[in-house]
Amino acid sequence: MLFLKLARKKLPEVLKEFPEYSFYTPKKEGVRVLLKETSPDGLPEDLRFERSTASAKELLFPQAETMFYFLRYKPSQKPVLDEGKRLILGLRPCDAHGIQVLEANFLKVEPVDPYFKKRRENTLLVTVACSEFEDNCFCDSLGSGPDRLNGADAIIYDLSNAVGVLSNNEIISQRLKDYAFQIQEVRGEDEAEKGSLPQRTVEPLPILSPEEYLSLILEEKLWDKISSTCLACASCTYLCPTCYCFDIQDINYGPAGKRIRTYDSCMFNLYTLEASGHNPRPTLKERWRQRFLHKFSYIPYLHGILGCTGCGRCIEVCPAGIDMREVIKDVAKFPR
Amino acid sequence: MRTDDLILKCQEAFREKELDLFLGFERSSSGFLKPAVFTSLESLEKISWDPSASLNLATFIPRFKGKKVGIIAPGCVSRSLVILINEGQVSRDRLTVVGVPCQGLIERKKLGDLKGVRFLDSQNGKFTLQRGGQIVELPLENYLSESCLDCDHSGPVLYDYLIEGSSRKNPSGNLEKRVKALVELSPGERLLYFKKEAEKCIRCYACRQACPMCYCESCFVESSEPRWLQAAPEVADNLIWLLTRVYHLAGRCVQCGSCARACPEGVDLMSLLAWANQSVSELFQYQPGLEIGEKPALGEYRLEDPDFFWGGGLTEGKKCCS
Amino acid sequence: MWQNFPVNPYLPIPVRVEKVRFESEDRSLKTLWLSFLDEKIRENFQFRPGQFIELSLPGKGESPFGIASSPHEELIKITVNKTGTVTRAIHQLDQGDIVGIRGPFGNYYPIEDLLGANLFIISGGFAFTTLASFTEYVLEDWSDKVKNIDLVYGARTPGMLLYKDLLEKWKENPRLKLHLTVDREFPGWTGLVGFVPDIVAKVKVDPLNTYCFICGPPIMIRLTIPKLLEKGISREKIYTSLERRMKCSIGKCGRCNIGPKYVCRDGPIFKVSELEKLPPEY
Repeated sequence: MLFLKLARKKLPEVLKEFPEYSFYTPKKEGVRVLLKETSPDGLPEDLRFERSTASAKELLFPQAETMFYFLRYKPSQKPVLDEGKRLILGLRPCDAHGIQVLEANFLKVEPVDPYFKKRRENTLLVTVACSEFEDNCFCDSLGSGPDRLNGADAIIYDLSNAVGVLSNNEIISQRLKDYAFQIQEVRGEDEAEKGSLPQRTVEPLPILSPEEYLSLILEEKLWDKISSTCLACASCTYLCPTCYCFDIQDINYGPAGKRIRTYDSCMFNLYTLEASGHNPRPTLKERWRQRFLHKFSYIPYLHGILGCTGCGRCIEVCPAGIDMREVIKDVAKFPR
Repeated sequence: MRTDDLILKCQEAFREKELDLFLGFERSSSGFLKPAVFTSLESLEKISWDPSASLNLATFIPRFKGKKVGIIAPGCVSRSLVILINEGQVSRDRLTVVGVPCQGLIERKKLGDLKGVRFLDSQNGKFTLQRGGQIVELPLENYLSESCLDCDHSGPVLYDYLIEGSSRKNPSGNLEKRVKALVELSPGERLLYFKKEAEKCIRCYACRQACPMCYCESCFVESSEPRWLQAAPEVADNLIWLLTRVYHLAGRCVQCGSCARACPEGVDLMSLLAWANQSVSELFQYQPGLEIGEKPALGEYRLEDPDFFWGGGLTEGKKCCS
Repeated sequence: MWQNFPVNPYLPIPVRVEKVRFESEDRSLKTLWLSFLDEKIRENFQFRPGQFIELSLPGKGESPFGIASSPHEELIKITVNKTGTVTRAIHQLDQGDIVGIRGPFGNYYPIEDLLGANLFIISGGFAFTTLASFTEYVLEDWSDKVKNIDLVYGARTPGMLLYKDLLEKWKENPRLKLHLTVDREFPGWTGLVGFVPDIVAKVKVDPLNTYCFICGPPIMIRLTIPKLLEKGISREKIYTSLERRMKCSIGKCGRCNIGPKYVCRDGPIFKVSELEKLPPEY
């Protein structure tokens, strides 16, 4: 891992070292913040970017993606893979953590998902350490923090009169070398100089081990209480950086068509509904149990990382005011 | 309105009517109110009501069929309950309503750049937030939900118990102006406007879930044969979703704003719903949710209903839109 | 795990429908025999009993089906129940039509671990597909390596029994003890009468050295397992095959999970002892 220090005024020049990449940064539009394509000239000097409303997964795993085209009933071999190269600048460490979970799902076990793989290979994720906390964000309560690399290709630290870049990625390290006035080989990210980070008293949340969570599977009262005011809309899942469940559908345009995949949500009734009419998760109780245990028990069990980044988007957007932090505490408090 | 009065009244209702559960709000960790289901007298100590609430509680009613349910209701919620009773979704004798006064509800998206805030209190047309170490006091009028700014039925129309207090009285007329502006656009300009809103939609269906009138067990979007619209959020399909839902709500919507507050992307739902309601109001002289026993306007045929084909009925010579 | 995945596992491989046949008198069950168009794939395609394929009709959708033919057969056999949009379209297929296949997916019945043991195969209705494949496979390749083989197979009426030609063939096979049953008395039926769990209770097996394989409607499985446990058979020796709504079938779309296990990847075959640790979502 390399830690490079650059003078602030060198940044716009440095960005021109990536001509084959299109730049994407978070941009405010009305009440939303979207990841939009920009030119490297228009970037803010103070490196303060808004956090995007939806998470960074949009660019690696878009809401609707064409898998292949076909002529009706005839399978055709025309897969649609996205070849564009992108450099996403201005994400937060929690966004990078979300991408780590997506990578674990799509790339870790054979067969590898070719669409996600192609996009990930062609994308450089550059995060910026948070300069202030968001409404309801709580990554530090989960043991993470606003300064973590979390598997991003590079993270930028604001060092007042300079800028520190921590990177594990060959392409970035190579192209930045000539602009840096100091280059350090570091073994771990904590050896890097991080500048001043936002401070607050951390209220650690009680996270149990995956096995301990599994022992609460049959506690109906617990899941009933948690899901009692849930509306079963899909807002939390669509905006969550780690949610990756998708649906596959065929769209017909007369005799031809395309097979697409779109976001789906475990909170919908249709999600597990079988053709016979039987539904293994008939009520919100079971669906909430699935949502919670997936993030805090199954993903850690299978991949060793927590399935929740602590970004707090679900808390912000829930129309029924369900707070994931309260849910974590309620589950941990329940007698086992 | 004092919170202690509310707690005592709700507990009285719970006890006297032997309720199974009570729907209300309680304080969340960010200070804003969140919906809660109270199942005991003791738990009702936590019930509260102020402009930081957001959801229309009547949306939970179809979940508790067959149970004796209590609910706190300002004007819009009480009208939703009347509609639910008229449409046969709940019976009046299993419902206990505690009417509450309402000064309007805050639209959190209007708080914009104010981040990391805790809601503290609301009094006399102002509300206070805590931000870091500072206390910020803001005028309620600038942050109210659009539906609330326009509200002309803020006091409860249906109740078994009533909490005294003053409700908001000056409807701004903004929505009416917006609808007029939309009607005066050319069809091409209007389509552009619809498309701009439809682009924002991510088809999360929070609007549908937050609406008490959307209680269909199987929504038209879930139909696969025939498949009316596809799952991907393309503008054409989003338009079908938004506009069809507006049509399904015409003459049934009380403009509570629960859908607009629930929408994570800020789609302008209120203008479309206000327009649909206005059309029904003009054509059928009907306002939903005011009288128990009333039949819904689009669910009943009367001889004097307007009839454009033959130019008859009460609206002879009139057209419904330009 | 026995799988060999192509570069893009979402692309269906073209197959031709070689033969069709209605299995049940009410025509709700149709069997199709499929062959790959590409010769190289045809020669190299291998699977083990228990695995399933996704039959893909681009334009309509996809559905998962257990493979009912044994691995030695030339054509891939599946049986389709007409319940929804996709299966209704599949029922309209006829000889010569081209469709797509993805697969094989899932785990398989672990015959290698069962040498020297007795096998007790239990099935009901049209879930018999993968167990039919398994039974043929055992009789062909492993007949001398296992002891007794008992097969209990039941349906609502004699007309709803699948693969009547196979059942006739097995009646003559001395290695297999066939217990065919229907729910109620039926004119012309000379076999057993009764529900599958009750017939299972009456079959005598050696509880210490018998492995059970159950595949059927959820209610049948739920009533049969206690009968097997009553006989003294350990939970480690009872295997069941689960069904779930599936889309990607490769453990990526997240919908078929039961706890940390994916039915399409770690299943569909699970031991009852494994299932007891997982949420009851099946």
